[in-house]
Amino acid sequence: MNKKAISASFVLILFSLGILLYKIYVLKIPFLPYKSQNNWRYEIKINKNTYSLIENQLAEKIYLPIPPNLENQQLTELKIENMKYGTISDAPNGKLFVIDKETLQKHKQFKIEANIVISNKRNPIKKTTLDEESRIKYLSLSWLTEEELNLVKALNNSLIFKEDSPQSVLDKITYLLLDEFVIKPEITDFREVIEMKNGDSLSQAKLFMALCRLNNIPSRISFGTSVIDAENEKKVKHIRLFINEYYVDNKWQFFHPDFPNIGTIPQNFLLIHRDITPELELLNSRDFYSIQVKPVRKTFFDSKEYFENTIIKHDNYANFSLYRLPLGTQSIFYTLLLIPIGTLILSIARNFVGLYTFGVFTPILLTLFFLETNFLTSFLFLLSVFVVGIIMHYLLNKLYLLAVPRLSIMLTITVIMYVGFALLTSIDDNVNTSSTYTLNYFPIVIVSVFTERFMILLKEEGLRNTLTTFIGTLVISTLCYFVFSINILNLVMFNNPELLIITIALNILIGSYTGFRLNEFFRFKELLKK
Amino acid sequence: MFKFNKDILTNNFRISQLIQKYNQREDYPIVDNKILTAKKAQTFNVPIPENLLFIETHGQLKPKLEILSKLDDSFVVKPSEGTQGGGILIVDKVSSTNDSDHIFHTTRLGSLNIYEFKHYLSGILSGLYSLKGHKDFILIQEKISNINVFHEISPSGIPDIRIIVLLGFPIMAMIRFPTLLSGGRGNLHLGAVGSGIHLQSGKIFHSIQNNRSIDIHPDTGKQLLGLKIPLWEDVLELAARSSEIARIGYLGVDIVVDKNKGALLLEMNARPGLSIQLANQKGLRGAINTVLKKAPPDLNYKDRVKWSLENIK
Repeated sequence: MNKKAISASFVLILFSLGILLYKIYVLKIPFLPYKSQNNWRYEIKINKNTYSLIENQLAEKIYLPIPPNLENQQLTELKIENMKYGTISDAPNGKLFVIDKETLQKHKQFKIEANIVISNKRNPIKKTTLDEESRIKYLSLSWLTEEELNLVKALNNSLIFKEDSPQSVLDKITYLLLDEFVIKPEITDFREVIEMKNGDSLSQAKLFMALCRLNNIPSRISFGTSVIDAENEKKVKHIRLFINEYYVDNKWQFFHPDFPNIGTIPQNFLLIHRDITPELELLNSRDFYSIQVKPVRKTFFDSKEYFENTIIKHDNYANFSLYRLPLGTQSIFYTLLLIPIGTLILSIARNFVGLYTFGVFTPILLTLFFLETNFLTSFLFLLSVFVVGIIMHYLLNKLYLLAVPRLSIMLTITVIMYVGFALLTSIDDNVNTSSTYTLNYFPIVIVSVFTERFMILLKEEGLRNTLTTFIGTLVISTLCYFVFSINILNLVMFNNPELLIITIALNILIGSYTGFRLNEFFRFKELLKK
Repeated sequence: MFKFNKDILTNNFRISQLIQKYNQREDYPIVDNKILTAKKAQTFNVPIPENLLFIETHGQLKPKLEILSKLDDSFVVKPSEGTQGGGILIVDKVSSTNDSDHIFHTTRLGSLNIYEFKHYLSGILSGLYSLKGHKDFILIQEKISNINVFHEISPSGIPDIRIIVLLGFPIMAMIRFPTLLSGGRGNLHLGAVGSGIHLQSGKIFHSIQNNRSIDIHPDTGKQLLGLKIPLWEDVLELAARSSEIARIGYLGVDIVVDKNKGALLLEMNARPGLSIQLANQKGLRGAINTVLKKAPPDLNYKDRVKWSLENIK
């Protein structure tokens, strides 16, 4: 090793550690951010494809709800596509983006994206007052037809006694819905709902609301979706929910059969709009509205809060902080900042161990591919591309094709396989709602690079060398995948990007190593014995 | 713990201390591209196998194929940028069939009709064997006539002599005998025999196949140990001269000995392998240090060979 390289890396390491120590001890910015809430990306859009199917059902105005700020949820960022074609109505129960039917017909594509922090703390519900006007509104039964009203009354009479206190009224309604009501999405006719006590989630909520209002308890239906976080469940599930709120003890309390702890704020729940009026009932239509909620990242801390509480105090430092970036961009940097660590692993694997890889950075790209989709699927996918590639190699050899058409054929087959895998992996997912498997161009770009390199190597070096190289590539990318998946490492790098300088220093050291690679011990075994 | 043999040249050392320091990147094409090597060699008066034809585009394939099918002698098809013998095809004879088609009799692929042969050539042009995978040219060379001694040892192909030349000084040499296992090619990793040559005497002193020491050629059973390479002085001087063609300080020179024409420069390699150390059972670092520390500058090729023979043991 040469002295220049050693001193250069020494200086870099000192420099980087200097910044780090200054940050921790002088600016008092911790090495790791504290944990806190959960970030989600909410997206609602009008489905262009199925729009025409229900065109005649549409009212004059169409509403896209923007989630409100509540005790448990905080809107941090909002983006509306084609904003100039609609208006935002600032209703007390949550903002709505209002679009005329005509505008919708002309533009069709409307989308709202919002970043929301959902805290899972069991915050107590705040007391609110209810003015007379609202009270009347939330007791109104005018939305029922006479026939329906009579049916509800009959049901109510069989259930509630005059002397019942409001609390026991509520208990009885609650138990009715918990014990007797059966969810049958195909039943939407409200008369049938009342008689059979079967129906979809919206009808259930309506029945609860009707019974409450009949007993003089102000009540409304709110709309939201349950989000079960990615860390516990691997997969984010979200179900559209119509949840009831009733006003008792000066508090708006929640009820939904799926949520335990009646009367508290539901956990893992994103409230999208309060008070669903008939024109908003369309939210139930999966054909018309597509709603997605995705975790912005896996860690539980609120970078905005962290930025405001800790970093922004230091003007100069705040300018360099990654926490200034919009949340969406931040989540990209979480992975991006790990790439230098991946390349460090690569340098070690190649120059100390002597592993061979397809191209230099292909393993890192494959790691990103693994992260972008999911590990097992993409790993199996690569294996099958490899096996099919070898079969194709021998089949195509018989046809004496030129190089580029040959590669094109292989790429086409890769695309076909990719389509197949996308279909296979989404079999158990409900389209549009529960899948987090997002298709974009990025994975196929990576796989193409991989396929090209691997087919050329197969042609030039034969099966044996290709196999070794393939294994080397897989080993490194798998290793990198698991390193990249270490949450704490994500946080460390994002919070302290100056550590990247250390990776440069380490690369200088690795780069100036002129000794044996692990595989050379085997290659020169005979010579070494001497 | 491992006992490090400080004399062995490792891949890491080769890249950072030799290739990066002494090999000029701009001159790589001269070494990598056989057509450029041939052209440069002519201006430097370095003897090379005779080039019969160049084919540079797909459009030239048809007219040049007609010339080829009329050749009486055997010839060799080489991709201009191929490495380690990849894509090289030896055509022993061209014959005509009754319906005036031409059949190309090759050593490696058997008999090819004109379409199969044309496809093979266009594969080369498309870059199938090129180092970087891009467009390539075809070089048609006369076939080397193997000298009798070598033919008796390895009838499956012509051996070539690899000499490592550092700053113009030959520092290590080996000869690679093709075997049936290697398919007539001289690649050690395919199973060819590599034999270390004693620089001063030109005699084979150690041989390996697939990393195992052997004394005889596995196909013919002929004794390799002690065999003297014919025209050894010429071979060394040719290697030293060839290094002047390009500014590649750390160079592998491949030389063949033709029955009639003597030592000829076959090709050069700017990233010569490490396996020569295995064939020689000796590391390269000692010789490299000697040259880097002691070698006098500005010697002509004959004096450089002389210096090497005196100083590198």
